[in-house]
Amino acid sequence: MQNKIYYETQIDWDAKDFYYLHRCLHRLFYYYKKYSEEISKMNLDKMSEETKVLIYCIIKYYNYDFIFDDYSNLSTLRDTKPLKNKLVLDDNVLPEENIYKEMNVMY
Amino acid sequence: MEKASTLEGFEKALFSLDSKLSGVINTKLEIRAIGGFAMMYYGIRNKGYTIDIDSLTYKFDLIVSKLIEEVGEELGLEDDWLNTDCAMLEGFMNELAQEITWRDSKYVFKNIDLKVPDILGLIRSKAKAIHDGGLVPRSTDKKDLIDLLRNMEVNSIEEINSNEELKFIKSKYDRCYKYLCDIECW
Repeated sequence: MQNKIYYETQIDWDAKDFYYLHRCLHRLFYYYKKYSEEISKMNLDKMSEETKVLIYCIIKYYNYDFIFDDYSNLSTLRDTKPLKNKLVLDDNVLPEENIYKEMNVMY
Repeated sequence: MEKASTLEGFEKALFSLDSKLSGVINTKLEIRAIGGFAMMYYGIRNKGYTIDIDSLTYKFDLIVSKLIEEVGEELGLEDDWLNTDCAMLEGFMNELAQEITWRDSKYVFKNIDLKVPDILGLIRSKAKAIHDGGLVPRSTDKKDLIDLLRNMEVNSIEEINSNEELKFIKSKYDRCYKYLCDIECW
Protein backbone atom coordinates (compact mmCIF):
# COMPACT_ATOMS: atom_id res chain seq x y z
CA MET A 1 0.00 0.00 0.00
CA GLN A 2 1.60 3.26 -1.06
CA ASN A 3 2.16 6.23 1.20
CA LYS A 4 -0.89 8.32 1.87
CA ILE A 5 -0.91 11.48 -0.20
CA TYR A 6 -1.43 13.66 2.84
CA TYR A 7 1.96 12.53 4.19
CA GLU A 8 3.87 13.09 0.95
CA THR A 9 6.74 15.55 0.74
CA GLN A 10 5.50 18.61 -1.08
CA ILE A 11 8.78 19.91 -2.46
CA ASP A 12 8.24 20.85 -6.14
CA TRP A 13 4.47 20.59 -5.84
CA ASP A 14 2.49 22.96 -7.98
CA ALA A 15 -1.09 24.19 -7.72
CA LYS A 16 -2.45 21.11 -9.49
CA ASP A 17 -0.81 18.83 -6.93
CA PHE A 18 -2.29 20.75 -4.02
CA TYR A 19 -5.66 20.82 -5.82
CA TYR A 20 -5.55 17.04 -6.05
CA LEU A 21 -4.53 16.74 -2.39
CA HIS A 22 -7.51 18.90 -1.50
CA ARG A 23 -9.81 16.70 -3.58
CA CYS A 24 -8.56 13.62 -1.73
CA LEU A 25 -8.94 15.24 1.68
CA HIS A 26 -12.34 16.62 0.70
CA ARG A 27 -13.57 13.14 -0.13
CA LEU A 28 -12.29 11.75 3.15
CA PHE A 29 -13.83 14.41 5.34
CA TYR A 30 -17.03 15.09 3.41
CA TYR A 31 -17.82 11.38 3.67
CA TYR A 32 -16.33 11.17 7.17
CA LYS A 33 -18.57 8.28 8.22
CA LYS A 34 -17.36 6.10 5.36
CA TYR A 35 -13.73 6.97 6.01
CA SER A 36 -13.91 7.17 9.79
CA GLU A 37 -11.27 4.55 10.37
CA GLU A 38 -8.74 6.23 8.14
CA ILE A 39 -9.46 9.62 9.71
CA SER A 40 -8.95 8.20 13.20
CA LYS A 41 -5.47 7.04 12.20
CA MET A 42 -4.27 10.31 10.75
CA ASN A 43 -1.09 11.66 12.30
CA LEU A 44 -0.92 15.44 12.16
CA ASP A 45 2.78 15.39 13.05
CA LYS A 46 3.53 13.84 9.69
CA MET A 47 1.65 16.53 7.76
CA SER A 48 2.76 19.87 6.37
CA GLU A 49 1.18 23.10 7.57
CA GLU A 50 -0.52 23.40 4.19
CA THR A 51 -2.13 19.98 4.53
CA LYS A 52 -3.38 20.76 8.02
CA VAL A 53 -4.85 24.06 6.84
CA LEU A 54 -6.67 22.29 4.01
CA ILE A 55 -8.20 19.80 6.43
CA TYR A 56 -9.20 22.67 8.70
CA CYS A 57 -10.82 24.51 5.79
CA ILE A 58 -12.84 21.47 4.78
CA ILE A 59 -14.06 20.86 8.32
CA LYS A 60 -15.02 24.49 8.86
CA TYR A 61 -16.58 24.91 5.39
CA TYR A 62 -19.17 22.24 6.19
CA ASN A 63 -19.53 23.21 9.85
CA TYR A 64 -18.16 19.83 10.82
CA ASP A 65 -16.56 21.18 14.01
CA PHE A 66 -17.68 18.06 15.86
CA ILE A 67 -14.82 16.28 14.10
CA PHE A 68 -12.36 18.13 16.37
CA ASP A 69 -14.07 16.47 19.34
CA ASP A 70 -14.92 13.09 17.90
CA TYR A 71 -11.39 12.42 16.62
CA SER A 72 -8.89 13.06 19.41
CA ASN A 73 -6.00 12.81 16.95
CA LEU A 74 -7.36 15.91 15.20
CA SER A 75 -8.28 17.99 18.24
CA THR A 76 -5.33 20.36 17.92
CA LEU A 77 -6.51 21.32 14.43
CA ARG A 78 -9.13 23.46 16.12
CA ASP A 79 -6.47 26.13 16.69
CA THR A 80 -5.12 26.16 13.15
CA LYS A 81 -3.90 29.57 12.03
CA PRO A 82 -3.91 31.01 8.49
CA LEU A 83 -0.92 30.26 6.30
CA LYS A 84 1.82 32.91 6.15
CA ASN A 85 2.22 32.39 2.41
CA LYS A 86 -0.75 32.16 0.09
CA LEU A 87 -1.50 28.60 -1.06
CA VAL A 88 -2.89 28.46 -4.57
CA LEU A 89 -5.11 25.53 -5.43
CA ASP A 90 -6.70 27.19 -8.40
CA ASP A 91 -6.32 30.62 -10.01
CA ASN A 92 -10.06 30.56 -10.80
CA VAL A 93 -11.22 31.18 -7.27
CA LEU A 94 -14.75 30.46 -6.13
CA PRO A 95 -16.37 33.90 -6.18
CA GLU A 96 -17.58 33.82 -2.57
CA GLU A 97 -16.32 34.71 0.88
CA ASN A 98 -15.38 31.56 2.73
CA ILE A 99 -12.97 29.98 5.18
CA TYR A 100 -10.43 29.30 2.43
CA LYS A 101 -9.84 33.01 1.90
CA GLU A 102 -9.55 33.56 5.64
CA MET A 103 -6.86 30.88 5.83
CA ASN A 104 -4.95 32.36 2.86
CA VAL A 105 -5.88 29.59 0.42
CA MET A 106 -6.89 30.44 -3.14
CA TYR A 107 -9.59 27.96 -4.03
CA MET B 1 2.76 12.38 -6.61
CA GLU B 2 0.94 9.24 -7.65
CA LYS B 3 -0.21 8.90 -11.26
CA ALA B 4 -3.64 7.74 -10.24
CA SER B 5 -5.30 11.06 -10.79
CA THR B 6 -4.44 11.39 -14.47
CA LEU B 7 -6.64 10.40 -17.36
CA GLU B 8 -3.90 8.05 -18.54
CA GLY B 9 -3.86 6.38 -15.14
CA PHE B 10 -7.57 5.68 -15.28
CA GLU B 11 -7.37 4.52 -18.89
CA LYS B 12 -4.73 2.00 -17.87
CA ALA B 13 -6.95 0.82 -15.04
CA LEU B 14 -9.98 0.45 -17.31
CA PHE B 15 -8.04 -1.59 -19.84
CA SER B 16 -6.67 -3.76 -17.07
CA LEU B 17 -10.19 -4.35 -15.79
CA ASP B 18 -11.37 -5.09 -19.32
CA SER B 19 -8.74 -7.78 -19.60
CA LYS B 20 -9.66 -9.34 -16.27
CA LEU B 21 -13.35 -9.42 -17.21
CA SER B 22 -12.74 -11.80 -20.14
CA GLY B 23 -14.50 -15.08 -19.53
CA VAL B 24 -15.91 -13.82 -16.24
CA ILE B 25 -19.04 -11.97 -17.36
CA ASN B 26 -21.56 -12.77 -20.09
CA THR B 27 -22.59 -9.26 -21.03
CA LYS B 28 -20.50 -6.11 -21.23
CA LEU B 29 -20.01 -4.19 -18.03
CA GLU B 30 -21.99 -0.99 -18.31
CA ILE B 31 -20.15 2.12 -17.10
CA ARG B 32 -21.74 5.55 -17.31
CA ALA B 33 -18.85 7.74 -16.21
CA ILE B 34 -19.98 10.96 -14.66
CA GLY B 35 -18.18 13.58 -12.61
CA GLY B 36 -14.44 14.14 -12.46
CA PHE B 37 -13.44 11.46 -14.93
CA ALA B 38 -15.81 12.85 -17.56
CA MET B 39 -14.34 16.32 -17.00
CA MET B 40 -10.83 14.97 -17.44
CA TYR B 41 -12.02 13.07 -20.54
CA TYR B 42 -13.12 16.39 -22.07
CA GLY B 43 -9.85 18.02 -21.14
CA ILE B 44 -11.43 20.59 -18.87
CA ARG B 45 -8.71 19.75 -16.41
CA ASN B 46 -5.88 17.45 -17.35
CA LYS B 47 -4.90 16.23 -13.90
CA GLY B 48 -6.10 16.01 -10.39
CA TYR B 49 -9.80 16.25 -10.80
CA THR B 50 -10.77 13.04 -9.14
CA ILE B 51 -9.48 9.96 -7.45
CA ASP B 52 -12.19 7.71 -8.76
CA ILE B 53 -14.59 7.08 -11.62
CA ASP B 54 -18.21 7.53 -10.62
CA SER B 55 -20.58 5.39 -12.66
CA LEU B 56 -24.25 6.29 -12.81
CA THR B 57 -25.33 2.67 -12.91
CA TYR B 58 -26.59 0.07 -10.50
CA LYS B 59 -24.20 -1.38 -7.98
CA PHE B 60 -21.57 -3.69 -9.43
CA ASP B 61 -21.87 -7.32 -8.43
CA LEU B 62 -19.39 -8.97 -6.11
CA ILE B 63 -17.24 -10.52 -8.84
CA VAL B 64 -16.83 -7.22 -10.64
CA SER B 65 -16.18 -5.37 -7.37
CA LYS B 66 -13.43 -7.84 -6.52
CA LEU B 67 -11.78 -7.33 -9.89
CA ILE B 68 -11.98 -3.57 -9.49
CA GLU B 69 -10.28 -3.91 -6.12
CA GLU B 70 -7.64 -6.17 -7.67
CA VAL B 71 -6.84 -3.61 -10.34
CA GLY B 72 -6.69 -0.95 -7.65
CA GLU B 73 -4.14 -2.94 -5.68
CA GLU B 74 -1.99 -3.63 -8.71
CA LEU B 75 -1.94 -0.05 -9.94
CA GLY B 76 -1.84 1.79 -6.63
CA LEU B 77 -5.37 3.15 -6.86
CA GLU B 78 -8.12 3.28 -4.26
CA ASP B 79 -10.01 -0.02 -3.80
CA ASP B 80 -13.12 1.69 -5.14
CA TRP B 81 -11.44 3.63 -7.97
CA LEU B 82 -14.51 2.68 -10.00
CA ASN B 83 -17.76 2.86 -8.04
CA THR B 84 -21.46 3.56 -8.21
CA ASP B 85 -21.69 5.73 -5.09
CA CYS B 86 -23.29 8.67 -6.93
CA ALA B 87 -26.10 6.44 -8.19
CA MET B 88 -27.02 5.68 -4.60
CA LEU B 89 -27.81 9.33 -3.98
CA GLU B 90 -31.51 10.00 -3.89
CA GLY B 91 -32.92 10.86 -7.27
CA PHE B 92 -29.68 10.59 -9.18
CA MET B 93 -30.42 7.33 -10.90
CA ASN B 94 -34.10 7.90 -11.47
CA GLU B 95 -33.97 11.51 -12.54
CA LEU B 96 -30.56 12.13 -13.95
CA ALA B 97 -29.73 9.05 -15.99
CA GLN B 98 -32.77 9.58 -18.20
CA GLU B 99 -32.08 13.26 -18.79
CA ILE B 100 -28.48 12.92 -19.84
CA THR B 101 -27.32 12.36 -23.43
CA TRP B 102 -24.73 9.60 -23.25
CA ARG B 103 -21.95 9.41 -25.77
CA ASP B 104 -19.83 6.39 -26.64
CA SER B 105 -16.30 6.85 -25.33
CA LYS B 106 -13.32 6.80 -27.67
CA TYR B 107 -12.02 3.58 -26.09
CA VAL B 108 -12.43 0.13 -27.61
CA PHE B 109 -13.02 -2.45 -24.92
CA LYS B 110 -13.97 -6.11 -25.25
CA ASN B 111 -15.95 -6.36 -22.05
CA ILE B 112 -16.83 -2.80 -21.10
CA ASP B 113 -19.48 -0.47 -22.49
CA LEU B 114 -18.24 2.93 -21.35
CA LYS B 115 -20.23 6.06 -22.07
CA VAL B 116 -19.73 9.64 -20.94
CA PRO B 117 -22.32 12.43 -20.74
CA ASP B 118 -22.12 15.41 -23.03
CA ILE B 119 -21.09 18.73 -21.43
CA LEU B 120 -24.72 19.72 -20.82
CA GLY B 121 -25.24 16.44 -19.05
CA LEU B 122 -22.31 17.17 -16.78
CA ILE B 123 -23.69 20.61 -16.05
CA ARG B 124 -27.05 19.06 -15.27
CA SER B 125 -25.46 16.62 -12.80
CA LYS B 126 -23.58 19.40 -11.05
CA ALA B 127 -26.61 21.69 -10.93
CA LYS B 128 -28.60 18.88 -9.37
CA ALA B 129 -25.85 18.13 -6.86
CA ILE B 130 -25.70 21.79 -5.80
CA HIS B 131 -29.48 22.01 -5.60
CA ASP B 132 -29.68 18.83 -3.52
CA GLY B 133 -26.79 19.99 -1.35
CA GLY B 134 -29.11 22.29 0.55
CA LEU B 135 -27.61 25.04 2.69
CA VAL B 136 -24.00 23.95 2.16
CA PRO B 137 -23.50 22.32 -1.22
CA ARG B 138 -20.17 20.64 -1.85
CA SER B 139 -17.49 23.15 -2.73
CA THR B 140 -16.16 20.70 -5.30
CA ASP B 141 -19.51 20.66 -7.11
CA LYS B 142 -19.56 24.44 -7.21
CA LYS B 143 -16.01 24.55 -8.57
CA ASP B 144 -16.83 21.97 -11.21
CA LEU B 145 -19.99 23.76 -12.33
CA ILE B 146 -18.15 27.06 -12.69
CA ASP B 147 -15.41 25.36 -14.72
CA LEU B 148 -18.00 23.71 -16.96
CA LEU B 149 -19.81 26.98 -17.56
CA ARG B 150 -16.54 28.74 -18.33
CA ASN B 151 -15.78 25.95 -20.80
CA MET B 152 -19.04 26.88 -22.55
CA GLU B 153 -17.93 30.52 -22.38
CA VAL B 154 -20.83 31.29 -20.08
CA ASN B 155 -19.49 33.64 -17.45
CA SER B 156 -22.44 35.33 -15.82
CA ILE B 157 -26.00 34.82 -14.67
CA GLU B 158 -27.13 37.05 -17.54
CA GLU B 159 -25.53 34.70 -20.03
CA ILE B 160 -27.23 31.75 -18.36
CA ASN B 161 -30.58 33.50 -18.60
CA SER B 162 -30.12 34.13 -22.31
CA ASN B 163 -28.97 30.58 -23.10
CA GLU B 164 -31.83 28.24 -24.09
CA GLU B 165 -29.80 25.13 -23.31
CA LEU B 166 -29.22 26.23 -19.71
CA LYS B 167 -32.78 27.24 -18.86
CA PHE B 168 -33.22 23.98 -16.98
CA ILE B 169 -30.99 25.30 -14.19
CA LYS B 170 -33.62 27.85 -13.18
CA SER B 171 -36.62 25.66 -13.84
CA LYS B 172 -35.41 22.48 -12.15
CA TYR B 173 -32.57 23.35 -9.78
CA ASP B 174 -33.55 26.64 -8.23
CA ARG B 175 -31.11 26.45 -5.30
CA CYS B 176 -28.26 26.16 -7.80
CA TYR B 177 -29.75 29.00 -9.81
CA LYS B 178 -29.92 31.14 -6.67
CA TYR B 179 -26.24 30.40 -5.96
CA LEU B 180 -25.30 31.54 -9.45
CA CYS B 181 -27.46 34.66 -9.03
CA ASP B 182 -25.68 35.44 -5.78
CA ILE B 183 -22.22 35.29 -7.32
CA GLU B 184 -23.41 36.98 -10.56
CA CYS B 185 -20.28 36.35 -12.62
CA TRP B 186 -17.27 34.03 -12.65
